[in-house]
Amino acid sequence: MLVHKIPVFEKKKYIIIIFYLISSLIFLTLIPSHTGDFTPELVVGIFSLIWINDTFAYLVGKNFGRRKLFERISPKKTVEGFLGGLIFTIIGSYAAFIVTGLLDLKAWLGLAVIMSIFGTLGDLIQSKFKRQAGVKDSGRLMPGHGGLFDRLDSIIFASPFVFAYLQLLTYVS
Amino acid sequence: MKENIIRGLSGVMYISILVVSIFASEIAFKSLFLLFGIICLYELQRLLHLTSYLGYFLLFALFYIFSYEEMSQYGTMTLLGEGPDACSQDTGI
Repeated sequence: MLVHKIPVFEKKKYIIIIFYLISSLIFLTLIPSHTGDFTPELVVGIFSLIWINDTFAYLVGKNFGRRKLFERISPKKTVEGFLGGLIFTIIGSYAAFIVTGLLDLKAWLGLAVIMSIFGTLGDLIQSKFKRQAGVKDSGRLMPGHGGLFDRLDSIIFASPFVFAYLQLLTYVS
Repeated sequence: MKENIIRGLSGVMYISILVVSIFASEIAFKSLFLLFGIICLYELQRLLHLTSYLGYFLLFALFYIFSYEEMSQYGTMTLLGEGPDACSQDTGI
């Protein structure tokens, strides 16, 4: 399988550290002030979308999950779980639009789709790291969650895409 | 059952720390993510079987330049050699 042959996970570790972890976190800290003013509601909304996605992907996948999404990397993820997360994130984005009053509805729907897709991808990439290292949990800081890195993985991978999307909305439209 | 309670409690604690710091101030939010970055870097380096301090140094340096100082469009333009004219066209100064 192709994923097992990609050598980038074995070598070039500093590239991973700089471009996967550090730059993503920096983009994340720049999201609330992307127009120049600090808007905390926006970033809380984005975090809520990620939490909604993770929670409902877990719940729907646990109850209705049949087809595996990517069995070689993460055996517990299912297609049904991903779709359930996506649908509930879209509903959640409508709620976020009403509560925060920022952006417009189309922009929030786009954010929900980006969050759901890239959040799930981030989860899969982190599972790949853990599988390669041969451990189940990445750390012991958050009891029950398998480490802080495990909890932040979706937002870490999704944040550059969200930042780029917000920049596009601000400058291109 | 006990595991679910532990999971729920630590989740609530994580969310409350995050939300409080975001609404407190911009500096608090950035500093919290610098702290999260240090922890994540520690966990990632353990996953990658890498023991070095260069990663932490890079984290601090890049965070200072791009997050705290906000190397903005203005700074990037200057770095690109466009000079102050290009910036003033954009900002209207």
